[in-house]
Amino acid sequence: MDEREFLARADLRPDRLRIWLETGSLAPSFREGVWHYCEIDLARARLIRDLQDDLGINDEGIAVVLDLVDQVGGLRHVLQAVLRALRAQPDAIRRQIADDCAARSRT
Amino acid sequence: MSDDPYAILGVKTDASPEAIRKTYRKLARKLHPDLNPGNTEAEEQFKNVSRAYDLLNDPEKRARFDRGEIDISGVERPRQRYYRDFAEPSADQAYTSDAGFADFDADDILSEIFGRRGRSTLKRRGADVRYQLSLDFLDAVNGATRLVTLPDGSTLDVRIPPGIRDGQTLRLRAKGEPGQGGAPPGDALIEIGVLPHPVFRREGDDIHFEQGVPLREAVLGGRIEVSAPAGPVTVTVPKWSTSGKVLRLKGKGVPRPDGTAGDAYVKLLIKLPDRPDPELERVVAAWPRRV
Repeated sequence: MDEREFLARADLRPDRLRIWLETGSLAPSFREGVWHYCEIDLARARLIRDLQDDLGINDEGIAVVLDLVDQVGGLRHVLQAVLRALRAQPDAIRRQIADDCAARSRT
Repeated sequence: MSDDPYAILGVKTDASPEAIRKTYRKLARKLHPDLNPGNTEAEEQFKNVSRAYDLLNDPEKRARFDRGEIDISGVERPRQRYYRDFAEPSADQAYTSDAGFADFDADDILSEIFGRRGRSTLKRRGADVRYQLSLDFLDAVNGATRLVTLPDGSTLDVRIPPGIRDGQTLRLRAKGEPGQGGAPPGDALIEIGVLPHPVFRREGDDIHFEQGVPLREAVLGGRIEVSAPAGPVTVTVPKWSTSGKVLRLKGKGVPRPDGTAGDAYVKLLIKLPDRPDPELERVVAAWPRRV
């Protein structure tokens, strides 16, 4: 969607969007000289608004929170893939890896 | 599920707005689905808490609820999808960060499995750069093209739209600093300064100026040519136009983006012939004196 539609759907004023773009909080794709926004940008804009308006996080804090949220997302994604791969293993191997992990995390 | 917003937030019915806000923030931190991606019940609880807060945070709605005029179902916070719905299904989406395992060995099993491309996927839009540009009055009114030299030595043809104002800023998309990690560049911001003009004066979208009118046209009326900002215009001077009379030239002012334009206001000044004219003196001398 273009910027006009994005502003309308996110219920956002242009100057506020400008700040988010400048701080990198929002990074829509940029092709042929125009910003292109998609659904994930919209959901992220709502998250930023919740953080600022309802949770009282200031402009500087937003970048930290978003960075951590994105890290957690990345970690969860990888962990889920690893667990799916483990589940596909025979029982004996799964048990062996689980025991191994448990032993290592105790040290 | 309780329908009492006070019970949902766990505050007393006489709680201050500040106390309500504090309580809500504490709950929202715990329940916001994007901050608790693993908690599948968080979404429903968060929705409930937000509804309660929206009602109690608005003094008018809170008073109406206290009087029993509305219930909590009247407050619905529209919400389509949470960010977490996008943040996990694919590691390739724009914002996913792999900084969470940046200290793992480069040749570890993760990179074999996932073929990590880089250490960090930090995307940051390039910074905006600011310039100042001085324009002659008429270029600002009529529009112009100016060559601007950027810090990296490259040049840029900047089209000045007609009607630009002193202090206005032009934004040239993507002409600023380059972005990081594939993010787009910043913008170039050009702050416009408009120099004053010896004749024309701008007020909003209107132009004011003075124009000499020969004695004959001032007395008998007639057509004279005046130089408006966009070029010469022929105007009709009514009979008996004295110095100080103002004529409005509709649409001859500053062009607006929507295609219309402001007006020009011409203040007439009666102008005697450059050299003394004996005939005119005779005519005026024969003209009876009235007080």
